[in-house]
Amino acid sequence: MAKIIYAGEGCTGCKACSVACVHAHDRAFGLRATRIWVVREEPLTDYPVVCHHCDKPPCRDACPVGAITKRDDGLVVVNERTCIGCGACVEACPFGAMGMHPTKRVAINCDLCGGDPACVKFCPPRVLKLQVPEAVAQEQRVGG
Amino acid sequence: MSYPLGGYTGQILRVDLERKKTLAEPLPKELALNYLGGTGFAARILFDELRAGLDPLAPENRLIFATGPLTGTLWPTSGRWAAYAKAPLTGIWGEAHCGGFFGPELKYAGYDMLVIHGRAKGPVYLWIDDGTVEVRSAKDLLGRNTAETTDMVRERHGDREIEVACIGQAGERLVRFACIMNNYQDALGRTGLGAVMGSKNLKAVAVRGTRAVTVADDDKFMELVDDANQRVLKQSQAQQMMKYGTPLLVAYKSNIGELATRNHQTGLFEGADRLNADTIREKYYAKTRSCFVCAIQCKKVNRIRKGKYSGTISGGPEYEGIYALGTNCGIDDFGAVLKANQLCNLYGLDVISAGCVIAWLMECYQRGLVTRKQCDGLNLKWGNSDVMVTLIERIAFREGIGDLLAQGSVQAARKLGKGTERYVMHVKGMEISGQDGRTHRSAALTHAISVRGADHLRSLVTVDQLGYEDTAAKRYGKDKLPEICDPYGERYKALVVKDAEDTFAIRDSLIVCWYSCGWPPIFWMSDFAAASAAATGVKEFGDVKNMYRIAERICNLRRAFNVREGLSAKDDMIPERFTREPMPEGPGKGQVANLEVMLREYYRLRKWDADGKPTERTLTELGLADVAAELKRPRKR
Amino acid sequence: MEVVVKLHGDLREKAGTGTIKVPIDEDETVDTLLMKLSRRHPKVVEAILDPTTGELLEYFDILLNGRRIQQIRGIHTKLKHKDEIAISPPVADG
Repeated sequence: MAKIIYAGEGCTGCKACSVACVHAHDRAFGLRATRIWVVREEPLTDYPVVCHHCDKPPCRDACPVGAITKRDDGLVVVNERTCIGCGACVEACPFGAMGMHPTKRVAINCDLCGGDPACVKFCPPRVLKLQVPEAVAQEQRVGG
Repeated sequence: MSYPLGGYTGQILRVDLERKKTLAEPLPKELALNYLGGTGFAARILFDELRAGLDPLAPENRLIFATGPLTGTLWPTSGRWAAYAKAPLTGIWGEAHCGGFFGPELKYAGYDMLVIHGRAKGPVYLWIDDGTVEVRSAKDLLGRNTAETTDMVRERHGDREIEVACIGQAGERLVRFACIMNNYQDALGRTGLGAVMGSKNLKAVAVRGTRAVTVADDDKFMELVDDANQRVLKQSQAQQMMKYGTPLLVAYKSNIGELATRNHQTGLFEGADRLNADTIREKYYAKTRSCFVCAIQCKKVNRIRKGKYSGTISGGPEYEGIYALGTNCGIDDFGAVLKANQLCNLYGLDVISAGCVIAWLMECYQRGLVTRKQCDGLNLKWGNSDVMVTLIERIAFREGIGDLLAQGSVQAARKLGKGTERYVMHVKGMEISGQDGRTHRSAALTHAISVRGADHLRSLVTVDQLGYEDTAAKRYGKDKLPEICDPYGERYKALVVKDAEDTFAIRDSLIVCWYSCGWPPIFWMSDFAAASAAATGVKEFGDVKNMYRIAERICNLRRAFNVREGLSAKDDMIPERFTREPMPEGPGKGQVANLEVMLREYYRLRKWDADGKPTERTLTELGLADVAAELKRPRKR
Repeated sequence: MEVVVKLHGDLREKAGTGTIKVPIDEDETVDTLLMKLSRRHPKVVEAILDPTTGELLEYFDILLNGRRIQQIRGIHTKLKHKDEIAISPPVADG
């Protein structure tokens, strides 16, 4: 299943992906309601963090009300109606890629924008891709 | 609680540090309609709320942090924000712009603008957490540099995403050109606004914003965003900036003989090749770290791998840092320049004023007007890079000769006397940036008329430095060629400087970045008009004629602020070096700038009187009759 | 007789050097110089000429001893011994 893949370098820490993500979901420009975060560390480190749609999602296992499911198409999805906003999944995710919407108070993660991700489109250095991990591995092997 | 106009949050946050009182008041709709944002808002507030003769370090001075209707949106280069106050360095209009992430975060917390007045009893910092605003003790932050302060505030509130604007040791000691830092490498550099924070015992402002900003016509706005991003990608300058950043200017200015060297004595520097973008990219480049959502990506981080300053890693230097800390001091050691740039960011010093006050002292030393004994025994010969780095430290901590330099070149020369004033390269008390009117004629007028003193960001246009004849013809008319593009001629320069000053007044109110409209510009007034209308829903903004009217209102109001302080045509002067001393060598050899003829034409285009003052008719036409009345009242001395 | 061509930015990277000495004969112009240059450094000249019109791309500046050739006689500007031609990518002041 394809998901958001970071090229490993070239991120400039500009957070365009985060703002584009909020706009794609809430039609508003902000940062805290994003589903793709950017870590900026001094002096030289910037990288995005986004849901990996794990096969055995710890977030799903941690959810006390079964609001998180792994769909057949591979997507890990939160049911915003049944989610009680307890944050167990936010703590459980090993990547910190499950967030808590600041105003709706429900868990939020990357949903690939239905297949045309805004973060990939708006990333100025073009270092985000919607790709299948195995395809990335093949490129890496060929790249050598 | 949504505000009738898109793009704005609709709230102004007022903070009185004396009584530790905070108040969120609605943004008056007519302020938005008549002044748009950023510089426009600040012009109105500073004129209304300050009085002539006020000491910039007095509690009554306002410190304004402002954004605009585009700040925090996806429009490329819209991460900009700005600070305004009566300036400690010059005693007139103070303004400084910055990238980083603080501006958007302030809007996400629900505020278009923060207006701070009064002085806190002890060291404090302002903590803004959406609707919760507190004035907290900063006792343990005192004496910290800007990086430590940022880290400590984030740690204290357990959140690495908090944005912090803070001062370092220089601001605490009221150095007249102390700056305010955000995001470790982004500076509200010029006019000494760091000293305003210092004078208010305000060490930092920390913001967390969990909300979001909406625009009036989202579909139209996003269309404009897509188009804007495409234009940035295709624009030649932007592509070069993406790779090399502003140091690209070093080689170009060296080739045209305009690389200001040894306190602007000449335009050729023998060490230029060791400081140009090719060398930096090859030997020192470490990473690109952009401002908020930026498509131009011009900000670089460099690293020194060998020599005395090995291990230094710092954002920058920008072209101005290479000029001020390097060529203007006769220094070609990039390690020292990067180290000094880093120290300026950590201690909170304006790189340009710091470098230029050192260059002034070096010229006084060259001409025997100061002795080593007077300067802590330091050897101030041109090119002494270690002494330059040492002096940055002494200025920030006001130690030894640093205490004299910390007052700014004009005050330092006044105290030193013995004819040293002659070698201060300033306009209205602010040290000149890295342009030379002799070889880039319109820059002479820009330096002279800029509202905050010698400034290259409020009206600088390079049509007569870079040319691009067909862009010039399209914008100003074929009949203006070739003179408009002639770097050594005065003809049509007032026209382009006035047009740029108006366009940049809008750019600085939206607030978007300087590089959105360099030359040839990616965006100009019509693009700003379209983006403003879509963002705010105000149809009138979409008409370029209205935008020019708002721009002229802002430019006249800022000018009126200075006129009320007693400024007039006599202050629109540049040092004789540019008007009397011919360029000694290089392609521009023999050139001097005839400022008078450009100045007269500029006043005519501005519809000001011969003494450079806005006439009552001009002010009234722009809806500033109250300002005209105020200027007529005799000044209380 | 020769001139020195100085390159910066991408052009320098494409040419692999910052300075190129080019021998010239009597009434050489910038135009003929570019043709000579394109034989030894095709990538450089390709980068500065518009592929369709063969004209100098709008935003590249060619300086002859520090003066933009548009200020003189454009690509028909005459060259002489020891002239310095700088070809630099577009820059924005600031």
